[in-house]
Amino acid sequence: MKAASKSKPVILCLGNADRGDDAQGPCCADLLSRRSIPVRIMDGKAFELLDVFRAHPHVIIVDAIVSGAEPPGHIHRFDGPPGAVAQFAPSCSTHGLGLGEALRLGAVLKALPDRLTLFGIESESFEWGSTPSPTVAASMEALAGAVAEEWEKAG
Amino acid sequence: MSRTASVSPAQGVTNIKVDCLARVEGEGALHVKIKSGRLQHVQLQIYEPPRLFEAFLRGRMAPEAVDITARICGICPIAYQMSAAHAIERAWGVTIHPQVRALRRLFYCGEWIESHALHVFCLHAPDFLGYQDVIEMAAAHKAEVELALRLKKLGNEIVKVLGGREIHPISACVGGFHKVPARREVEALVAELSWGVQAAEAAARLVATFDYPDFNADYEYVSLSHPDEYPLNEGRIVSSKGIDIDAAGYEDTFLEQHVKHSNALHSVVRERDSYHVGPLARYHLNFERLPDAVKSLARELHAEPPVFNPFKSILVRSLELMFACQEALRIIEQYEPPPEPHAEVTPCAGRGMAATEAPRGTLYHRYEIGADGKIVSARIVPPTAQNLKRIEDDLWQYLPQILDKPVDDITWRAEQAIRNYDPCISCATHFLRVYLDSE
Repeated sequence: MKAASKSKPVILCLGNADRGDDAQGPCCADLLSRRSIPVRIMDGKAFELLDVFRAHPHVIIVDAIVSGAEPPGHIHRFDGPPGAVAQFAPSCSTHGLGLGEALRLGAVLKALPDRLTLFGIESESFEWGSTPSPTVAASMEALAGAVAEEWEKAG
Repeated sequence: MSRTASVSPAQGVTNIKVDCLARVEGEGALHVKIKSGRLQHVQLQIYEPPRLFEAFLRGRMAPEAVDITARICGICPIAYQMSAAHAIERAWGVTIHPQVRALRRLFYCGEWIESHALHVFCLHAPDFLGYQDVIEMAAAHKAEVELALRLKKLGNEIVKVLGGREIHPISACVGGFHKVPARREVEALVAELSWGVQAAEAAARLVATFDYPDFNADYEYVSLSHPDEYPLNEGRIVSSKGIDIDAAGYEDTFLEQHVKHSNALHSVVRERDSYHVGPLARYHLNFERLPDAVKSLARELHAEPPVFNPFKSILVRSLELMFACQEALRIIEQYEPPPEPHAEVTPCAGRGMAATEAPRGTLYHRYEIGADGKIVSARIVPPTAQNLKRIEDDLWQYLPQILDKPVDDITWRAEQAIRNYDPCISCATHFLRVYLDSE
């Protein structure tokens, strides 16, 4: 049963804090928490994401993005029916079924939220054990601000 | 990861390249060469770089190995925690409370349930049903995929109750757990586990209807064996060809060999050959210790041992899934919280070896510990590394049976044969490429 439609969206911050620009999810979660905005940090496994999708009508996801269409540091925002957002979340693992699989499997199983908003900074480096690149780090406050604004005006 | 295939005839040679064999964990490539209708070359190349965990462990306090080695694998961290804890406990002469022992079995049941549910339905079943992946399969088999998701969630929940969290659990330690659950916390799992037993039986009945390739191999099956229980944490290492040793004798019995084409070592029985660890091996060597209901179902499905067809590993995994749910229920029924969550331990110099049964097979750990309690050296042999040579041997024996098939079929079956082992290449040393050269 999904929560009442008037409830605030749930914010899921995905990523690995020790994989360079992939840390933007956890970093954004930290910045949002300082604004007293509730967030959930997840590692992005598909089945756990599906559980959240089934329970909430509006989900905001923050995750690293590599599109090649914009320079590193650019803040992306995709919004709309989850099926439309899925094309922006291709798979990038094997055993690990991630956000892309969650969106596609959720579509088949009719387990998607009504609305999904995806935020992420165009990324350039995912080195093991490293912090976000200076370019991505410079966009972190703006990313958190955009997510906060989305959350504030929703519900 | 999507999979693409291209066929590019050139100079009489047909090259087939499947970019990414999905549904395995790790980076590697399979090269197969066929000339004049004969199989000439099979090579499973593991090019994922070594991860050097054994070196990371040197100089760390021994109890840290429980948490450090858990990071080797996101699928089976509990296996690493259990083998590490048992090995260090043996080095230090630690005796654990019987209820701690039971909780460790329950913890392991959770990992088996989540891992087996994932592999049976999401990674392997698509091979048998003719789908590229579980997403494509879900369109026609929604109920089965929903069942798999619920089973996996059940396994995750057990891990969370015992380990503190679902991913990279943190509660296990040398001597027991940092914190043990109250009786009401484990009792809350009973209703879903009771459903899980039924769901696993349904899974076994479904996969028993699959069309299995007609192939059998003369395996030397190797697993733990315990006189009173289906093996998880304890037992002697036994084989279908006469091995019967304590874990302390592992390195005298098995040999890890460097091979040029792989960053993962290949394991053999010394002075013999490859061997097979995992569900089929456990099942073959421990069938009588399964619950009666599982044995009865196996007989009804004509799947009682010996089973030497590796493609039937999916059926045996389903039966082990049923066992794990039943075993978890049995443990919960008898559970009383131990007086202390863990035994007191005193660091000292020592040497300890232990093996436990990860979902994919026997996982061996050995630690040399100094008088200051720090690790001097460590040795970790994961199940996939033990199976790698056996996977190559399977392909050498199986592929000649299907060389008259279209190249797409050969490639599909080769991938399926690899997935029989649910290989976790990351543990052994993220993608597997399959190249088929046919002239």
